[in-house]
Amino acid sequence: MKYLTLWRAGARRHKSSLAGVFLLLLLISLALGTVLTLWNNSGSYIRSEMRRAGFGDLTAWVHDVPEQTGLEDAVAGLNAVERVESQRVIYADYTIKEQESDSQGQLIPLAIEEDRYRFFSNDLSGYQEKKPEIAPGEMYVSPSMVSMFGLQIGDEINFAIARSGGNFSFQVKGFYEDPFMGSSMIGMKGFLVCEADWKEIQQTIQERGKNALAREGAMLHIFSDDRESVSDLNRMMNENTALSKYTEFIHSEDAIAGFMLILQNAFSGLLIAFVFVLLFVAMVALGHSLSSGIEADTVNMGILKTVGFTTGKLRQIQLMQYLTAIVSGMMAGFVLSVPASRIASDKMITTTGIRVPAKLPFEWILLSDLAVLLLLILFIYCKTGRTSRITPMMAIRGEGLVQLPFVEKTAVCGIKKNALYFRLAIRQLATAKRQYISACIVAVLLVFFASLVGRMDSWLGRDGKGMMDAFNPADHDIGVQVFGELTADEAEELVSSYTGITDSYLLAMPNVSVNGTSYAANVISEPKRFHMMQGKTCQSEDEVVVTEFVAKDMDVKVGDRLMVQGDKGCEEYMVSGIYQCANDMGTNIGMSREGYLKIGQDNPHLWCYHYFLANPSVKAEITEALETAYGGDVHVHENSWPGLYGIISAMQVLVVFMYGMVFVFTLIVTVMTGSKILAAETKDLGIYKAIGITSTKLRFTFALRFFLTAVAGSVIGILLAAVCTDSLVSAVMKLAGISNFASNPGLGEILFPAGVVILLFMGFSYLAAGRIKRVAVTVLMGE
Amino acid sequence: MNAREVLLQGKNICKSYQQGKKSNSVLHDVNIEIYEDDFTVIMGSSGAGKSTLLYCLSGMDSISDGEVLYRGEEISRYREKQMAALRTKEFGFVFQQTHLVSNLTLYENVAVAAYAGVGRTAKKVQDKAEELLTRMCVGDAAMRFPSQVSGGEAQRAAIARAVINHPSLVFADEPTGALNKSNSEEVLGLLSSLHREGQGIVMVTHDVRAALYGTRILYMEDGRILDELAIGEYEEKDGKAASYQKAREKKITEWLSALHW
Repeated sequence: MKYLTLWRAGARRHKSSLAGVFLLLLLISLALGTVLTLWNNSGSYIRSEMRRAGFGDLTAWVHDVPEQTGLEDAVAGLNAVERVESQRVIYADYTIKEQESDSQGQLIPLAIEEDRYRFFSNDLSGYQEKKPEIAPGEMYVSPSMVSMFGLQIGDEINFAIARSGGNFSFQVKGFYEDPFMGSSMIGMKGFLVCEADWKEIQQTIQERGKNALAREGAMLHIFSDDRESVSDLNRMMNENTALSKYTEFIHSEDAIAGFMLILQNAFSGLLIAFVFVLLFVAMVALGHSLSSGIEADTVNMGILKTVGFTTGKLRQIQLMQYLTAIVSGMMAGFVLSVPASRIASDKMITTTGIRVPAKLPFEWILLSDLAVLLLLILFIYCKTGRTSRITPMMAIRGEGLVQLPFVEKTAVCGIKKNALYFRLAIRQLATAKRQYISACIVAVLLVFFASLVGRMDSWLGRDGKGMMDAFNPADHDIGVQVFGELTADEAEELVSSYTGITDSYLLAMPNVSVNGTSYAANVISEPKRFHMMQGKTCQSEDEVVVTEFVAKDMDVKVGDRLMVQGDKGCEEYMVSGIYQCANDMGTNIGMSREGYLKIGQDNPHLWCYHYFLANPSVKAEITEALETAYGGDVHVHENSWPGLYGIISAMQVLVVFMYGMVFVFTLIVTVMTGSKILAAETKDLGIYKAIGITSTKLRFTFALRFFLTAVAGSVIGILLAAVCTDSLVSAVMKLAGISNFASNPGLGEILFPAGVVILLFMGFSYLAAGRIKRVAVTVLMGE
Repeated sequence: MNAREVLLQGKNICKSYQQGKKSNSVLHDVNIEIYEDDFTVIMGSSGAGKSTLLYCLSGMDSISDGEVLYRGEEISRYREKQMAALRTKEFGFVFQQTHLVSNLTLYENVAVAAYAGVGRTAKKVQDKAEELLTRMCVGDAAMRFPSQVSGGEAQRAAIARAVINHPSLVFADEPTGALNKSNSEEVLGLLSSLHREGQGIVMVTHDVRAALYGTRILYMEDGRILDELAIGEYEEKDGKAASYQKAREKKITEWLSALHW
């Protein structure tokens, strides 16, 4: 009972601090619960849906296979293959709202008997109860096309099936969940059409022959006996069957899941890092609250010791007070993370293409919450150790725990008429610096993280150039690939009529097998344009460059040799360097044109002409003009892809979320710290008022102290970000196949996070200092 | 009635504190006049309301009813900014505890009060602060912090701070309450000498020996002023100081006895 009485009394006395701790832990638990839910559920959901929908350990996209059944049988006949299932597809370029697709779309017939896909309700808030029927002229698409193209139900999508009037138009009937290609991070997209439409398109392709633009093909879902040896299986298939001859691309389940989850994983990683920063911030605030609480309660604790309370008991009481706030905050955050996960999942559908279940992963959350709780208990226990220094004599003498710190002979920053209030602020800071250290550490952490995200945002750029440069093997303004009768010269002439071409080169992306494993090859006419990281580019025809990921997979380094097989032959090449290209999660190699032609067939349609324009702002007009003039005979792409907008908007959401958290945390920490400092300074405030200094001036002086503290913290935060960002973000970016992240922010971008944090600290401390108005000079009245 | 000019006037001052639903009345219709150049002492037993009256008169505390006039102008409804201006120019304060700002040196504690006001150059403030600290016999300790000096030294610095802006009135709330006998006498001697130079003082005390230094003594009980005694100027009596003090003390004691103190 006596403990309960003391617990109540302490809770009343420190209610504002405990409320602050409650809020901090609520936000941490909420953010942690939401991130863990989305991270855990998206991973498991994608894999379970892929399995349910019948996708294999490996999926090969093949085209123009003369004997598909024979190929399937040959693959299925391999010892390591359990079975092969196939889905018919037609590859075709498509246009939405006058935007041409970057990758070919895959028209997939929806078989009545199959239960492969799930269909969203029109508002994307759930699923349709009954599998819908698709009428001729209608199609279902992934909801990620909303973010990629601004697509809505009822919009039209045009597919270029054949030249001279061979276009097919479909109206979007609704959205389906595609666990395989649904994410906006994946360029290739599946379109569900009815069997009748698919057959009509197939017939058109067959009838038009050479004039057909679309190609018939299939997705082969290959199930291995041993799921651990997917790369061996890939090699075995390439060596023993004709699969590689017809393969457009081949990806493992892991690679597809990686593509689908690339955005969630990268942002979840960042958010979890941010949660750790917030936890550290909360511990700093908690530490300050505990220390100043003990200092304020020294006399009370001394009295309790005189009546028989031990240090251990007093520490237990303090622990219980703070644990009440911590546990209730964590529980409230835990409960709120259910709707928060639901909301976040709903908001992400148009980017991820899937509806991530909002069911909390109890074991993960419980484990993480327990870890946080244990950490905080340990922290509180350590911080309350000072209680042992309190003696009954302190209570008898009415002494505080902290002795006056003015042992130095000379005073810091003399008090003069000029800049009086600034000098008073400096003096307060210098003499009670321990009180402001927590605020300074918080400023360091918040500025560091805000700078880190700011640097990522600046690297990404408004148009996503940073990301595109990482994904593209070489820079360009516009790429033009010609088909049919159209020649590159004709296309180039049209481009030149808009703006001068300052430079150009050729790039092709055929598939090759490297030491038996399929990879995409970036074949370039000017190898010096590759983004090199190590060694030298592949100038000679017997040299290749590989990404860091391929080098790791193949266990090769600069100077080692690799066997590369194309559709004409196989040759040995030396690895001349490591280059950067995040395409296919970084699993690609680079070759010179001469080097590739030793093993691959030349074909004018293989090459894409990459141009640098004198005036890049006319790219959109050039694209429109080329498409209008040559229709399906030309494919134009810019240094961008529609999925990039999803990333940019997700980045913007992250930045907004982060600044929101910075706002709330700065508010809570400033109010918590500020109220403790003000409580300790009540007497001084009374004295200043008695000599005629107004509350407004005292508030300004108080805010000035936090301003100076935040400035000091911000400088450290900026420096930390400058030193650590690139290596830290590179570690996260490797998940996305980007291995060389280098941010070069402008001065404004460097200073912005610091400016925000400084202003917030100053503004909130000025608000927190509102209670100075209520400090009456009567606090100085004698007993 | 005294013909001297009334500097500060309290009319029907009432002060009560709300404690939950209960109202605790501390001052009841107090009428008081403070004259220019007087050394007014307010006496009374503990809980009589003398400190509350001092704080209400000086505008440090609000009043529940009535009005306070300074030089004929009502100040009890002043806004904070007006009150702050009054404190920098017209009023000085000395408290029972040595209320100096703990992280400012004695010199800075004195100077900051002058800097908070306007109109004087930094050099003049510096000279004046040094002069006052020397006069208060704490010139040597000027650059020390309050925690590094004795209570008497700190209180003398507090007096210097109270008078640096040449206020018309210095309010002193039990200025010797926390001091030993010798320090008390030094502090009271300083206040008395300031008064002799024309400084108006209002002092609250329950110490008869402190009251000796006043020119006019008011006695309070239960939130009311019961009586007042004019005892004339306190004089420095070299050689026969003891007998002079004894005579004044006797006069006050007899008066207080009549009031059943």
